[in-house]
Amino acid sequence: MTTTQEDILKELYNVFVGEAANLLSEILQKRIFLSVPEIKLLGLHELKSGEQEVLNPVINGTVLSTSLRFGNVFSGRADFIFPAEQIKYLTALCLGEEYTEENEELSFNDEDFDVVKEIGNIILNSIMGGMGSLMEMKLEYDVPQVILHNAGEFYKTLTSSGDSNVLLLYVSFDIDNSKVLGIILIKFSLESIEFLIRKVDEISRDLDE
Amino acid sequence: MNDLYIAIVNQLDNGIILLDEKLNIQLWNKWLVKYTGKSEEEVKGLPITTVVPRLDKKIYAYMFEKALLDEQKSFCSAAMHQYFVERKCAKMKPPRQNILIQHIQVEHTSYLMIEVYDVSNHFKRIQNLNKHIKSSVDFSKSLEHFVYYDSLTNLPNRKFVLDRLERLIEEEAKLFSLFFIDLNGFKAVNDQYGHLQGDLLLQMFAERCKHFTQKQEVFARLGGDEFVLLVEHMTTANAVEQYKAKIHELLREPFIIEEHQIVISASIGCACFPQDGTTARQLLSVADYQMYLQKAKK
Repeated sequence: MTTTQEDILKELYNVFVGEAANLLSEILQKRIFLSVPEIKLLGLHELKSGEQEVLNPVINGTVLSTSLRFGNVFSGRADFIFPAEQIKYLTALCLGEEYTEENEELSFNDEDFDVVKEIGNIILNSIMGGMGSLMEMKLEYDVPQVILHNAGEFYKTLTSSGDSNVLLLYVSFDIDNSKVLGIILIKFSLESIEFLIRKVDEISRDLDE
Repeated sequence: MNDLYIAIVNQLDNGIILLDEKLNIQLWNKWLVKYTGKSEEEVKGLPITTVVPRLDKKIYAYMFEKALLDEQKSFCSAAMHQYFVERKCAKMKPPRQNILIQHIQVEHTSYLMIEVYDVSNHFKRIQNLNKHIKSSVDFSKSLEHFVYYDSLTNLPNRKFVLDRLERLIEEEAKLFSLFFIDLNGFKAVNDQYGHLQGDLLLQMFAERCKHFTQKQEVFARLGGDEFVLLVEHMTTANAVEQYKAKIHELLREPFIIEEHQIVISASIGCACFPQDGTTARQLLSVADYQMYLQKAKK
């Protein structure tokens, strides 16, 4: 992807997650800012390269993922992942509970899973809705599934179906002046990514005219 | 609507609400009748926000709209919304419910389906389960400690050392030295001051050993007044002598027990892997023999 294509996609995804932030703010009755500070298009084999300093420890560690498959013609799979050690912090922030280091034990209850499922649902809904409008088609997808992956398992699941392209979005949560970083990985088929880039190029041409 | 489908919906163990495009209730299943005390006849045709006032918020109107127009599904958790449908018995503590909002299309008519799940007891159940798992884990940890550590000194025991030796031997590439330490004069301490004081001395010696031990070293008690020190990556004669001197240094200061100053010494034997043996028992036996040679000289 060229820098211009990357910039356009980054702006679009920032608009999509902005809508999700409004919903979350309304639900939780507190200001929540969501932004996508960085976006990258990578081949699956590049995910583990040394260059991905922030990503590597996350995808190889214990993570909680909310995942969904989408589309028919324009298709793929979206995974929203959080490092497991940040889940308790995120749930405490969302629910306005006090977070202490002692709570940092990696044992989760239904409540943690449900909070992540709802946040994942809201953000992925906004992203899928946004991508659907961009592609001018209705994307079919379900409520995301929440899965806790032990260290290394998520990467194995992600790469089990052969090589393809992954759009990597870093999502920064800003709640009560605290920041939590989540990562969205959208795995596209080759035709789908070409289609997405063609759409981005159309936007780029429109902007130039 | 087909009677069979209605019968199935009424058998479900969760609430099902079906809304038309104007958000008026078209179906209110048996679970909800029991849960709320409101019959289907009472609520049918009424706007959902009248029957379930907690859904009368901008955020849910947005979710309903998104479901009807874009077929978007929304999950709302009890953690973030508490509950939606009031229970029949208002005196009970507020329930906790998850809901799932989704679109259903039958021919050319769109409906909204709201599934209601009462999760009031889930959190407590999982909490109890976690507590139970934690106590099981704690129990197996204490069991493991019991198997691998000496109860008097809290140092690793014979089994720990034998297991570690076998693992190191399997790795082959690793060199290591095993020191066998026998305290001289310990029997006299027991005889003169009693077994309790003897045990105290062993505990005090073990404390000194723990402070002395560094990474890749294991100080263990085999039993009685016999100890071993396992040192990885070290087999040169010079280094072996240095370690022996360090162990003697540990005993230089007298032990003070009930105002008595007790001085004891140690005899030390050493075996190195692989030159002195290739099994854990061979190495222990060589180190033990070397220790006896030292003791005999005294």
